[in-house]
Amino acid sequence: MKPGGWFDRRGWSDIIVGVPYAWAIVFILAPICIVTALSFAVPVLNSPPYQFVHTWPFVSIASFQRLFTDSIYIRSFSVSLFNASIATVLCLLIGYPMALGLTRVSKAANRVLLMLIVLPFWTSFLLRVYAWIGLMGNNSWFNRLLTVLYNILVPQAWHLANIQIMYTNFAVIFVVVYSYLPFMILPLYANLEKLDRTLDEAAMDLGSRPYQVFLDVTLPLSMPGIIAGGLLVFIPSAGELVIPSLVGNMSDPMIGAIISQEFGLNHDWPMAAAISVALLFVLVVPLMAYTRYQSRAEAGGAP
Amino acid sequence: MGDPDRQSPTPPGRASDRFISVRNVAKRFGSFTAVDGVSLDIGKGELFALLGSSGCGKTTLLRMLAGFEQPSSGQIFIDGEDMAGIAPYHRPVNMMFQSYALFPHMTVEKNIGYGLKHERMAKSERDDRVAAMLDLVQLRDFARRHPHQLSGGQRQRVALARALAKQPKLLLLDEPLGALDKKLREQTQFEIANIQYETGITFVVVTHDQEEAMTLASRIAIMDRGAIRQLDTPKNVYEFPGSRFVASFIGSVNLFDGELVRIDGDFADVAVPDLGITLRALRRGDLRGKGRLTCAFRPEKVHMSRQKPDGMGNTIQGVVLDFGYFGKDSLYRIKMATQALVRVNATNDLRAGDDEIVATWEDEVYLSIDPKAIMIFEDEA
Repeated sequence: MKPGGWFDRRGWSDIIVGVPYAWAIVFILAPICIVTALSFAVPVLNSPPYQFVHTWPFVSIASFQRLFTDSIYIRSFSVSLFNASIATVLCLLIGYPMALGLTRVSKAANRVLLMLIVLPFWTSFLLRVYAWIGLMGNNSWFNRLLTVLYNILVPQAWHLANIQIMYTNFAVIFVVVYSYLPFMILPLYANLEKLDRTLDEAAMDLGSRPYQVFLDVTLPLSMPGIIAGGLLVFIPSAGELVIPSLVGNMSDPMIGAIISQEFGLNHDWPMAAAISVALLFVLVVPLMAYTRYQSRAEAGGAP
Repeated sequence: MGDPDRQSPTPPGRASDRFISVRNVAKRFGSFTAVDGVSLDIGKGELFALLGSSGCGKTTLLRMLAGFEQPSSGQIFIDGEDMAGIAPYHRPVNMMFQSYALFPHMTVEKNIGYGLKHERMAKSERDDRVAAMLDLVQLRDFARRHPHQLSGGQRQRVALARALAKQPKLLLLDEPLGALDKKLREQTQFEIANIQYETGITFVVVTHDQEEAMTLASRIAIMDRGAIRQLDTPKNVYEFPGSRFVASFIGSVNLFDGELVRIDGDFADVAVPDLGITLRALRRGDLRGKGRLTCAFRPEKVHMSRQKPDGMGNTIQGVVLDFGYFGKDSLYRIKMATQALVRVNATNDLRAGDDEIVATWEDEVYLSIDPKAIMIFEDEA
């Protein structure tokens, strides 16, 4: 080592590489380990409200057994996955044309539109959800407008006074789609923007009409963007807690509310931990599928 | 510079065929005129080149033939059919893109077969066509590869095969050799010419590379600022350029301002102050009277010797300023007494080291130019 040069380039690069690893270990890996350990404990009426088993095999799978037998957990898992799937598909259906449109407009328009897409982030997320609560409520002008339109379209139901939107699964999906749409649009846009437009011309030159060009060229080449955007919407919306607790049907809760209930109301930390671990598995599976798709794509196919 | 006498195996197309006919076509983008009233006819089975520097409008013209752009005015006919308003996917035209534009998510055979997908064609027939195309470009063993697993030359051949698979009436090639290295380029240009000959499809090549245009094409249109400056065979374009622009664009040339002194039968005498002599040149048919004009002669048409040649006109004396040795030939820059520079190309047909032939720095040399090799242009730039 050079005299005085105790801190060389290698030292810097170790730090730069090390910081994110340390971050991941302390704030991601360690909590996962703690939660996993908790899920194998038993609840006690004490502080802290759990206890590890002192006899062989030192773990209790009681929480997991309840998870797979008690219908409330299975039901809320399916509600969560259903809501998240519908929301992801809707985000894709709404976001794809928007992302594609962003790549086809002039530079000036592109900048304005991108700005508009990220603009809602400047307002508090809670404030925006409350705004929707105001709009969806039974006495709002928005609800009345929808009611009138519904009554005109379906005259048999002319007596309908208002449409119940609040406290339904529909409201949850609706607000989730609204909240997570930018997370679908932005990765899709980043992907579509990179695509070589000459490929579209080549396909058209070889006899493809515009819709065939889209199906044969644009859509398959944007698959990485679709998957990235889909995961960014699906994963957080499956575990969503705030939106369903504000606008959702509390008698048919999503899994986030159940976890919160077990932790807070029931003081059953091992149960909450077991649900969290199960949720982690459910969400990690699609992520692993994505990584596999990506590595396969890099090895021999799509870019 | 390639040998101007070398020609593609295609017989020069007869313009009277009018297989492809471009009639007074212009294309304006806002206030910019990319193509300015171009008219040309291309015969069936011809290998035609559009040659020009970047921004001359050649690519825009190509894109109008492909249907990616619509002419602002004028008409384009392909095999007698007016192409106005006909979409690219309905034209009997295919294009080989400069970047090749191969579909990265498809294998070589899927790429080649892509255009056949939309044709009503039995699967076996389609497979046969793809196999024939793979054979044509010698890529049979690479059918299952993806484009990113191929070399540049292989990608180029996939692009060519894909464009040929639909057996178009017209094939457009945008800088077909631009992305290849020099060795591969030479080989490929003969391959393209052979494929064109075998398939009999009309090719239009766009290029900025004059060697590419000259070796490939049976006729060349030289474009500049949206207009065609000359349209002729490679040999005529080189040996009989119609203007000072074309003469200096194709190959290298010595250009000198001069003044017509007299016309003597088939010859014209031109006083060239920069050379300090009156050059005798073959008279062009339309040359009349007196006036300022440009004298031009190609470096390889100058005969250089260290002894004063006997009985030859157009002889000037100078000193070797410097020279570049290229192996098969050398380019000399000879300084005249007037300080003007003349470029001379001398073939190294004897082994180097032979002091009697090869001139070197500071050597006094005599340059003589055959009157037939001197070109006269009135369009003084």
